[in-house]
Amino acid sequence: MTSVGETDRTGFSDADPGPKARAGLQRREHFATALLILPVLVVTIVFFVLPLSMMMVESFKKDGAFSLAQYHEFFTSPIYYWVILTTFTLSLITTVGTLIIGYPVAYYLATTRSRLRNALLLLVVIPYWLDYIVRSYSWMILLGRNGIISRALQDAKLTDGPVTLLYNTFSVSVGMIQIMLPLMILTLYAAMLRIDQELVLAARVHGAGVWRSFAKVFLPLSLPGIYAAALLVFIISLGFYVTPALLGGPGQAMISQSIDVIASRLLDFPLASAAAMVLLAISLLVVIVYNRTFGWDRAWTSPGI
Amino acid sequence: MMAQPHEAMPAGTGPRAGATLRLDAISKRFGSVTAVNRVSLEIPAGSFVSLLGPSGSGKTTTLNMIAGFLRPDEGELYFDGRPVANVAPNKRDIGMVFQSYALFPHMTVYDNVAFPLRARGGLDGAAIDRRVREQLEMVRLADFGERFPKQLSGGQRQRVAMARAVVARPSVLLLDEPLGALDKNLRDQLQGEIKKIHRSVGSTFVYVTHDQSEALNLSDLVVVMREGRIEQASDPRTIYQAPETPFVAEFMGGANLLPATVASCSAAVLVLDLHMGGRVLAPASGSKPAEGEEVSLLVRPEDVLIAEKPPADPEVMSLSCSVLDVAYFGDTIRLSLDASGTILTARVPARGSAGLSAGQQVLFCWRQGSARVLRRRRYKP
Repeated sequence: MTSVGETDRTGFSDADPGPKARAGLQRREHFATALLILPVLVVTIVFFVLPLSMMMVESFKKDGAFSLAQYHEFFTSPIYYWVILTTFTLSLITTVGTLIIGYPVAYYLATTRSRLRNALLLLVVIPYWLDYIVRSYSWMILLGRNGIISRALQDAKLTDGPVTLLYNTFSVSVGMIQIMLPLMILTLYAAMLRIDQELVLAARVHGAGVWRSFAKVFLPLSLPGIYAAALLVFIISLGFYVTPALLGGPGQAMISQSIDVIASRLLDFPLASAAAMVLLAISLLVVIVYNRTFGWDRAWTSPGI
Repeated sequence: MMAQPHEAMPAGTGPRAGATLRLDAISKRFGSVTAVNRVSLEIPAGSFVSLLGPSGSGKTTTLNMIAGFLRPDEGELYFDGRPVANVAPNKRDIGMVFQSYALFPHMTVYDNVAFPLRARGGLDGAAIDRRVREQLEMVRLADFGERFPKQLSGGQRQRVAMARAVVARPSVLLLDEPLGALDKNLRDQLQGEIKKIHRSVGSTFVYVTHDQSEALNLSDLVVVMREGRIEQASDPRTIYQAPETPFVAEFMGGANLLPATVASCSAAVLVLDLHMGGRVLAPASGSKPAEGEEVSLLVRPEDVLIAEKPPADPEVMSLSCSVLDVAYFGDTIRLSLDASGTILTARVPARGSAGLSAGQQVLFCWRQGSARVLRRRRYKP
C-alpha cells in the first residue's frame, strides 16, 4: 500500500496532486517550450549573431587594437558618400515605383469577385520564384544596344543608330522595380483583404461616388498596408547587389557592391566590415524612425484605430 | 426615454415625406440559384415595411437591390415613379443601417455621422455641424462625438449607425437586421427608438429581419418571404390572425397545424377529417376549398383551452392527448402535448393550471371560430 501512496505524491493520481506537483508540471511545460525553441536559437546564434559580432569586432580593429580608423575612412571618403546617396535614391525610386504600379493591382486582386483572381495571383507570384540574376539578364536582353527595344526603334526609323538604355539609373530602377513588385503587391494585397468591403458600400449608399468612397474610406484604411509594404521593399532594396551590378554603370554602384569590392579586391576586411555595419545601422535607423512615424506594426492587427 | 426637442426642428430638417417604392417583378439569380423570383411589391410613402423570412428567403437580396448594390436580372424598381434599377446607390437618396453597422473605423463618431452630409454636398460647414449635433442629440450620443467606433458599446454603435443613416433625411431608409447583434433587453429598447425616429424623420423604412415579433411590433406592412417569393404581405394583425398559408402561420410563431381533408363545405362551416383522426368543424373564411381538398387547420397556442371532461358546447372542438412537458414562463405556461403521435402546443394562463403535469391525459380544446383553414399555396411555374 505504501507504493500506491508514493505514486500519489509523484502526481499520477486522479486526485489533486497538490501545489508541489503542479509547480513541477509547470516547470516541465517551461522546459518543453525551451526545448522547442532551442534549434532555432542555436541556428540564429551560430549563423547570425556570432558572425555579425565577429564582423563588428573586426570593424573596430586596426593592427590588433581598438580603432575608429575604418569608420573615419568610410565617412570621409567622397566615394562612399556617393555610394550611400545612390543606394538611398535607388531604393526610394524602387519603393515609389512598386507602390504606384502595385497598388492598383493589389486593389483589383483584393476587391474583385472574378474567378480570374487566383490565376492573376499566380502570375504575380511566378516571377518571384525566378532568380534575381535571370531576371536582371532578361532586362539586359531587352534594353541592350542590340536589344529588342533598340532594334524596334531602329526599324521604326525613330533613331539613326543603336540606342543603349542600359547602365544608367533608369535601367537599374526598372530592374529593381520588376524584382520587388511581387513583394509589394502581395503585402498590399494581404493588408487590403482585411478591409471590410461593406464599409465601401456604406460610403456609396450614403451619397459618396466611386472616387470619394475610395479616397475617404478604402485608401485611409489601406494606409497601414502601404506603410508596411513600402518599408519592406525599401529595406530589402538597400541591400541589392546583382541588379545594379548587371544593369548599372559605375554611377549606380550601391553599398553592397562597394562592400564586395573592398573585401574581395582590396582585401581590406576591416573596412568592408565597417561598411556592412553602416548598412545595418542605416536599415535599423530607417525601421525605427519609420515605425515611430507610421506605426507599421498596425498593418498586421486591424485596419483603422 | 428620449426627450422630444426634435418635434419642433429648424427649417429644412423637419419631417419630409418618404418615397413611394415599387418593385415590379424583380428577379435575381446567383448561378443556378434564384435568390429573388419575380417579386412585386408596392410600399406607400413614409410607411414602415418589414421583409420577414428565414435565411435564404431572398429578403436581404431584395434589400440589396433596393440599395443599388445589386442590379436585378429582370424587372424594375421605382422610387416615386422614377425607375432606379440602373441608378448608382449614391444617387438614390437612401440611408442604410447595416447588420454589422459598417461604421468607418478610422473616423470619429462625429465624422461618421457627418459623412452623408459631406458626401451629398450642398450644405456649408456650419449647417453640417448643426445637423450632426442635432442628430447626435437625437440618439443621445451628444458627448460621444470625439470617440472612435471601437470605443463604444454595441448599443451605442447601433445608435451611431442609425444617426448616420438618417442624418441626411433620406427618402428611403434601409435597415438590415439592425438589432441582430444585440441582447434581448437592448433590442426591445431600441425598437422603441427606431419607431420614434421613423415618426420624426418621415422616410420610408424598409426593415429586414427574421424576428417575427420585431416585424409585428414595428411595421405597418409585414412581407413574409420564402424561397425568393412573397408568401404574404399584410398588416401585422392580418398576418398573425389571418395567415394565408401554413408557412406564414408557422413562421409567425408556434402554430398548431393539423393536416386535414375537407369532408364537406356548406356556406359558413367546413367539416374536416383530421389525418390524426377525428372530425371537426371549422369556419369558412377567405377563398373556399373544394370537397376532398387537402388543407391545414391552424389553431394558435393561445386559443387552446385545456379541459379534463369533454365540453358540452358544440362550438368547442376537442382532441384527447397526453401532456409531454410543462414549461413555466411566469404569466403563462406552455404545454407540449401528444395527440396520437402529433405534437401540439398550448399556451395557457399559469393561474389555475397548477395541477398539470407530464403524463396526464387531457383534452386539447378550441372554439371552432378561433381556428383557421389554410389552403396549400400553388405557384404558377
